[in-house]
Amino acid sequence: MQKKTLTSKAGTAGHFAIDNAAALMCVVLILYNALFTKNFVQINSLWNLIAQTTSLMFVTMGMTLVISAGCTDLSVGAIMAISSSICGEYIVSGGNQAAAIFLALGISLVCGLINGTLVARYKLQPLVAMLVARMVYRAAAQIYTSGIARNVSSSIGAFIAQKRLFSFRLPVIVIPMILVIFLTWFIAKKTSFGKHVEAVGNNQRTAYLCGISVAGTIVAVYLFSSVLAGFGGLIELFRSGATDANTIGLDYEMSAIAAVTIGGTSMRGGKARIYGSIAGALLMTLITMTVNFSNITYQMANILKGVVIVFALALHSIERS
Amino acid sequence: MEKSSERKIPLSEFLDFLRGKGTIVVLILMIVFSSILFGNTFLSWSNLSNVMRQVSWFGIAAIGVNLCIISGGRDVSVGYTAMLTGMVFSWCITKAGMNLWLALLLSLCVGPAVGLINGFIIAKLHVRAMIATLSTGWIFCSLGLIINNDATIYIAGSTKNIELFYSISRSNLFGFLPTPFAVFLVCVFGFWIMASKTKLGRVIYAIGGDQESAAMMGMNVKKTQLITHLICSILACIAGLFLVARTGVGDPASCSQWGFTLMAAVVIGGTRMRGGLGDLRGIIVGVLIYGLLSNILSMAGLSLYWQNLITGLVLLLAILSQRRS
Repeated sequence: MQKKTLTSKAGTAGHFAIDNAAALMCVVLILYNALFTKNFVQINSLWNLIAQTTSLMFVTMGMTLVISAGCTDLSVGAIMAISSSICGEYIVSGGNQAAAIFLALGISLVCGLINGTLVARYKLQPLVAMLVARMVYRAAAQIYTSGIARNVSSSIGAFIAQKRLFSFRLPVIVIPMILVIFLTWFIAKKTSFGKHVEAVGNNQRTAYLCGISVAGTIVAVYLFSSVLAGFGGLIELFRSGATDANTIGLDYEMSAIAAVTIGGTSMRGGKARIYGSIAGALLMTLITMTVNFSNITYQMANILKGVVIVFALALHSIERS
Repeated sequence: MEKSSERKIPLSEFLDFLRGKGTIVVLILMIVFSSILFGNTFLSWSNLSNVMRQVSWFGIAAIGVNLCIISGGRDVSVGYTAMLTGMVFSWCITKAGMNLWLALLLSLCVGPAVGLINGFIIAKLHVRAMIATLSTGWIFCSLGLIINNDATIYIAGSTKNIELFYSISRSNLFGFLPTPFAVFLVCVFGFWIMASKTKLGRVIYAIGGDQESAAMMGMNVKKTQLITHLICSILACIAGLFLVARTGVGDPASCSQWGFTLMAAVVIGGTRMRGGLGDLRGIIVGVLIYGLLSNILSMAGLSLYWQNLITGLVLLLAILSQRRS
């Protein structure tokens, strides 16, 4: 049914371009900005770029594992809204900051458990189940905060969002980001659990016959993704200093899917490419920054990211056939 | 995996009941329940015809979604297609100062354009329908927002014969039947003819049942996928115009949940998520249940957030009732 296409003719250069699409696009956008945007080539722009990517990077790392297990988690944006609202409201009402953070992460874990149960236990199609979860979680966060935005000031928040370290002004926020990237890489590539995830993504039936607990793996992957989304929500909360259940985490799931797919992880699962996802997440922020610098309405960035998803998926399907 | 499916899952008997004739019972129960609870507020003709009106554009779009799901595909971008149509129409008629007919013509082009884009991505680029329409829906949503910088466009009093356009949604046929509901019934009839009497209908069911066998029997899978997405987007486009004619505003926030609620309605009505199975019931019963549900929820004075939450849970129940056993 499917014809022989591009890859059989194109040589190693084509393969290289497809494998590193995200990194190449990043380079193009950085060059574009270096040429056309004033004051872009500074150490501060680099830190801004990385600091702005942090919450998306958390979500993307979780999404990479979920997608490589052959599932998708569309609820991450809504989980970000839930965790940031819970933490924010708790702090505003005079609660302990550490307790607020643990509470928010705990609720994120519960959301992940629900997601994993729906997909692994009740065998719903991941995309459909997650669409519902996204709708329900976002509505729950809006009901919890009555849809009202609130200012939240906290010492932890100020430390994470504004503190710069050393003479080269390293933002504190970069440290958890590097930790989470390392953690995801370690889980995906150096543990047997990582292999189980890829096996489940490749072929659930085979993985089951090899004695891997398919349901357990899927639930664990969703737990990982939601707890990282919870972290992402907290970072957004601390960075912006406000809770807003209507806007925090909006469209993050789509940005994360775009980052993961353009990074070379196939939506069909079976392969986790951490480096690609890192480049993909940076690419998403670069697209937003470029659109902002060029004085185009910010919706244009979403359109470009949507095009990136379609482009990446088309590339994957060409590669496969 | 296999062990877990043999185990009896709680809920399952209730869900089996829902899957069978249950939906019609649920519909009747809802009508009885709300008549008792709200009395004449619910049973008054003005409320019922209001429900019929709201159900009709939702139902017109549901026909297309039903067709997509039967063919084994998905379209979650319908809501944004409807919204984009409304935005294009209201932009043309207010900001660009076009006359009614030109604006109608331009906005009616949105449907086929969207359908061709979706169909091309799914049929020619072999991207799975769900993720493809999710991303194109995101693109259309952003386009709709760009048109007027996230703001609503008010049409009122822009052209002379705008009342004529309003009347397609606001008038009654024979003094009692809301015009859009009549259009909806005509569309349902058209769907029935297409699904049961034409070759295209047979092919759509065959592809939904088993795509590979259908291809081996010489059916043109790609062309059929393209056509279903085209029909789906055109119907969504028409639904969007009816909505604008009713509200009189181009609102970029409207219809954003349609992609999921339409799927819910169709699945509640008994269309199988995996494709190959589904009929008129999917549209009529599902859409009526959804229309009544939102009517009851808003009469009960619940906020939009609660409505979203409950709709999501109902959708979850509907999908759970169809899970692979």
